Amino acid sequence: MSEAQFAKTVAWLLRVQALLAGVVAVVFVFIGGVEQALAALIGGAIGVVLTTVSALRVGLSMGGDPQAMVSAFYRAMAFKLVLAVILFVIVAKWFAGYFGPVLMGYVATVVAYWLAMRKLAQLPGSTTENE
Amino acid sequence: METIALIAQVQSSTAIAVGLIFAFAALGTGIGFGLLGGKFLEGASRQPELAAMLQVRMFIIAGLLDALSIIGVAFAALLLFANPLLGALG
Repeated sequence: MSEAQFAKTVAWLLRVQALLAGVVAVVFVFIGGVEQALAALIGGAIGVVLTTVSALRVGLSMGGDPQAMVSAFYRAMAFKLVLAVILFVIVAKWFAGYFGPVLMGYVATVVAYWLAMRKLAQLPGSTTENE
Repeated sequence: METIALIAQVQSSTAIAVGLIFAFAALGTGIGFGLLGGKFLEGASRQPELAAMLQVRMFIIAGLLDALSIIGVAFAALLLFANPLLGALG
């Protein structure tokens, strides 16, 4: 698995996240109207943005030595957390009345990580058989 | 007077709740990321050719690991900037 595989996995992850956020938004159109659907879409967009930013930062460090990869990974995750704080503070101010849908939209994008893990586990050679 | 005391009580409880949310989110994520990075270095030093594959898996697991702390941060932001508990007081 190389940089190309990483890019492929991230692209799949982003597609599924966008799809799940869209599904949650459609559900909220029927449950609570367009405003709640928009809030759910914004929650989903936060998830997609966080994944994109952290994936870009992690992906740029691939191919180096493991120590550099881990330090780039930690920097990317710290940046992701800071960005999440900023985005959610902005959303808490603007969409305080619709915070449930915002959170549901974000949680829907988290589900994509579980699906990605399942997908990776099904790839051939994903388990160590030489033990 | 009683309302002011109630508001003060809600605000102080909220401050404690937000502190606890941040503390436990930081603790859990810190332990998780520490274990994750340590195991990655261990695996990459044993089989350097698998480092790229391990990093893909590390990225996916990290997304799950910090999701709960980000949700906690979101709740903390709501409690700090648009506290619904204060709205209930009228």
